[in-house]
Amino acid sequence: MSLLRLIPELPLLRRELIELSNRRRTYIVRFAGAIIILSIVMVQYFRVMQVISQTANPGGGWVPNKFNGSGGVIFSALVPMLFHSVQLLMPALICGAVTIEKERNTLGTLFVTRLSPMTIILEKLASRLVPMLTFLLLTFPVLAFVYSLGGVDTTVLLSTLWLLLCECVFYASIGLLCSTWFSTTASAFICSYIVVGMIVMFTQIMGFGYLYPVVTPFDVWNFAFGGMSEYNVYMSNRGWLQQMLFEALRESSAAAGGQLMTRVMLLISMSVPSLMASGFFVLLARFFLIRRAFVSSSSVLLRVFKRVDTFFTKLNDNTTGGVVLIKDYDSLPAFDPVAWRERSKKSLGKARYLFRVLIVLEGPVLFICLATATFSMSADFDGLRVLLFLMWAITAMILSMKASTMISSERTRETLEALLSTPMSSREIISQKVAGLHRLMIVLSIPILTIHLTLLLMHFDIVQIVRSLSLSTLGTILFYGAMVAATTYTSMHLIVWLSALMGLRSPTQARSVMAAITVLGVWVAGSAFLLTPGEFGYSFGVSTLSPFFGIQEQRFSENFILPSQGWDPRAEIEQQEKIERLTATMSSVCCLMRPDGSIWANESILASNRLAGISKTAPFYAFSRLRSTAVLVSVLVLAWHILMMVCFRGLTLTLAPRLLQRLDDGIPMNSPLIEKSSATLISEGAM
Amino acid sequence: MQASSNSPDAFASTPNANSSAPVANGKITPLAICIRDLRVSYGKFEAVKGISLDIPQGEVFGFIGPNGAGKSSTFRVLATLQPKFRGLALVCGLDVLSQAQKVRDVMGFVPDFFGVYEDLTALEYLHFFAAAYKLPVSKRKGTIDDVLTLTDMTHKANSPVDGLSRGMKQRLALARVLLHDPQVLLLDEPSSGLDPRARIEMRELLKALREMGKTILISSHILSELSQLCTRIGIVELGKMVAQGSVNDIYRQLQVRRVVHVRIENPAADLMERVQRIAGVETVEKQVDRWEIRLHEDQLSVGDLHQALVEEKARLTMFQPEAMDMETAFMKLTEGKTA
Repeated sequence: MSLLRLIPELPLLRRELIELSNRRRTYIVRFAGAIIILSIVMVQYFRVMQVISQTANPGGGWVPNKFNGSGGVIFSALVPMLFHSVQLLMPALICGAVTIEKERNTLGTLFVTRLSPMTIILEKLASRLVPMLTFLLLTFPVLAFVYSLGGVDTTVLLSTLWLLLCECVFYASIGLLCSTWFSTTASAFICSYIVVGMIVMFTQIMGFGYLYPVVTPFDVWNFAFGGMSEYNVYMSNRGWLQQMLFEALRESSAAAGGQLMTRVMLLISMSVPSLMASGFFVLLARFFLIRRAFVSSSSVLLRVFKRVDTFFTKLNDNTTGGVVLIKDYDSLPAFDPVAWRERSKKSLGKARYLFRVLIVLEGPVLFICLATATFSMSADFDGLRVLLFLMWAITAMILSMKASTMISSERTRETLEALLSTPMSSREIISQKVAGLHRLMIVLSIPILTIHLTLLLMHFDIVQIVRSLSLSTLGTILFYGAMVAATTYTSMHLIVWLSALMGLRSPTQARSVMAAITVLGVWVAGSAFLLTPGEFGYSFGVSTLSPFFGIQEQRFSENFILPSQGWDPRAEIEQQEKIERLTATMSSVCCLMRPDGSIWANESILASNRLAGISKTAPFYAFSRLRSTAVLVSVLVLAWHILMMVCFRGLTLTLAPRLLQRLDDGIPMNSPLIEKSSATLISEGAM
Repeated sequence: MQASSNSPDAFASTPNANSSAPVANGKITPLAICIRDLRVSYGKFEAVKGISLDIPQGEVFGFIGPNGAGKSSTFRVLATLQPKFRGLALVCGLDVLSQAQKVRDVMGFVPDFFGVYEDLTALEYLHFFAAAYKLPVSKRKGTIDDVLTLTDMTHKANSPVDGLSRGMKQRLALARVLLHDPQVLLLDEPSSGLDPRARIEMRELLKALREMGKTILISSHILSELSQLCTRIGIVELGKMVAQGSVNDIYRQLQVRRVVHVRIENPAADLMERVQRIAGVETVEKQVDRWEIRLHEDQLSVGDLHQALVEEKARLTMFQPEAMDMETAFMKLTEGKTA
């Protein structure tokens, strides 16, 4: 009994865990998460087993005990997935820890209790670490099995567990800091992912240059075990610092007579920088908890823009005496009030503010494009494609956030009922909301089109084309331009309508943003994982291909290239043509199914002009060998995406009255969605 | 879905539902709101259990009930914001279910909680809703000026909405719903959270609207306020209408005694006994500085009591009938059960 008294009561942690356990969503998310993690782990497991099987048995004979000691390879393939899961899930779990209290106006009541701010912070941190660790626990049986195969040192296993814990704490502290800084969960969510993304990208970029800053626990794990496993034949040597660490580890273990604790302590000491960083973030979170407890929930960007306005107005007054060349005029809405408000009152709607956003985005893009066009020796530069996808990622995130919150923000601010009781139909409201995003879409499309233009200029010699008056090439250029413009328009609208549909049901902005970004993320990541057509020719397919297509191609090669058959040139040509057709078809299907498929398909138009230098693993490689095929596939993919966009638009507008809980004339209301929303109403006490 | 137990045709041969109108003094008063056996469920929970209500045009009907009684659900049905319900709901003879768009043209709804667009001024806010109510552009300025004057908001026209006090925001909300000159106003607790001055100003504004002939359905927790404003009231509890009628009807129904406070200069020794014997007086209680007389109002009106006291040669220095004791009525009618 006296021992129990020593355990602190931790009321906030207890409340959070009770709330968590009372939510049905917790179990659904946990189940779905477990399925996803275990599926990925299993796919990875089978993939590695396949590699081991191939490398251990190139001749085809049976090699007994070939899987003995293979645990190390599987382990080093599985563990990064766990680290990435933490990077992916932890910000989402923790970003609402403090902002939810702010949104419910309950943070003040916590402050007047005897809980100190630091206690609040630590209990909030613990309350989000618990579900993350339970997620990780789900994978422990798999790790145990891998351990049983042999090849995994006990030091490696224990150190990995420790570093996983450190990784959780590191990203949780970042998310918590964002949660204390921002006033809404949606803002904290976006910012957490931006910071986490930047850290991951930064460490990756540093890794390319063999600089290896020992910051995140994943880096530490990578330095110590990532590339040094003697079983891991596919990972190259990682550089001097990594070798030095590994040697230090080996020497210390030898000196200590292989003592387990010594080796573990060495790894723990290597994780100190990340723990110190976590501690610093927690202290910062404590610092901001009170200072930013009651900040206004108005748009941060809008406030920044207004401050910039004030600064420039003062500067203008002081320098020119207040000369204004173009005066702002405050218009009033004539016919489309919702669209008017989106365009003239929002930070990402006002023309003047959007111009600033354009400069911020277009400046660096233009610089990189000009530098690439000037200095690149190749007609095809993959770096520009990386930039293109980065721009698309930014665009998708901004559009998805804006579109998904267009109704939930009205709900949160309690302005929706007033709007819904007007004679405007639900279709009108949604359509006007989307119309309010058109300016933003135009601004976001400019950097994307700039990159496409640069790619075009790098592929064609315009001067030569003008001199030779090559109508065919001119036609290709015009066609590419038209396709790129159409694709950009379609893809942006596709993102907007899909996000709008996801956001219609959500009662809060945070949930709508999370739902929309999760759906888009799953579509992008899932299709990139499952629908990568891979290298044509199958010589070394498995390591570069996605697992399903890897297995598929393996079958082709087994069916078509049988070592026992005699060599027949005609049969081989036919076989080669068949494989080419199949690969082109598969690549086309991949592009059809992927959200970024239309971008790849357009690239095939350029690639068909000059195939040299294009990676064989590029999704568009297979159908780029013939210009007609490239054109056909790009048109097909565009048509499919337009169809999807129209479907999402139609679905959103049709479901709008039901999801908005509103009666529109002539629309039947039999829908399970209504039942669901009604349950939400009960919980909100709207009766 | 809503298997309406009663078709609109059962109540009205014409869209205006005149056939369902009550007859008063030989004149037909068309109904502004007609509800029959309204039932609203959220999953397995039934929030409204068969409420029926007739509100003629020009009437101010007060809706009283504890939290969770089903008031807001009823308001949401009439405001076309409750897609799933059973029963019949007509606003100005228009079926809420099948003619929702038309209902929105004749109805203005102020929800119990409402936010405002922080990035707009009061004038922009009203222009926004004028466009949303599809008012002709040529008429907007005049209409907005009128509603600003009516709600005494003209001096705040260019103030940011976010910076307005709660009372001002409520007025702005009223101005918003008056833009399209609706016949019916649905006001869900418009006085909640207001300070006494703002509450009195709001009451005066509602009286002005009543004089303009608007039909008002209003809910409130401030019962005395409703008794001063409403022509009829309805008391709901646990989704059921417990009582409805005029305030006096409800008093009579509940046998609630009227209390009159009187102060008499140098009363005779037997005056209290004589007052006690006046027909209709139930009790006379002597307080420190006054007498508290309880009377059966159906037997003896307040005016008759005054007359009787004068006839008994009482020199009255104070004669104060107590305001409608709605709290007593409410407590008597309800059992304090909430959902």
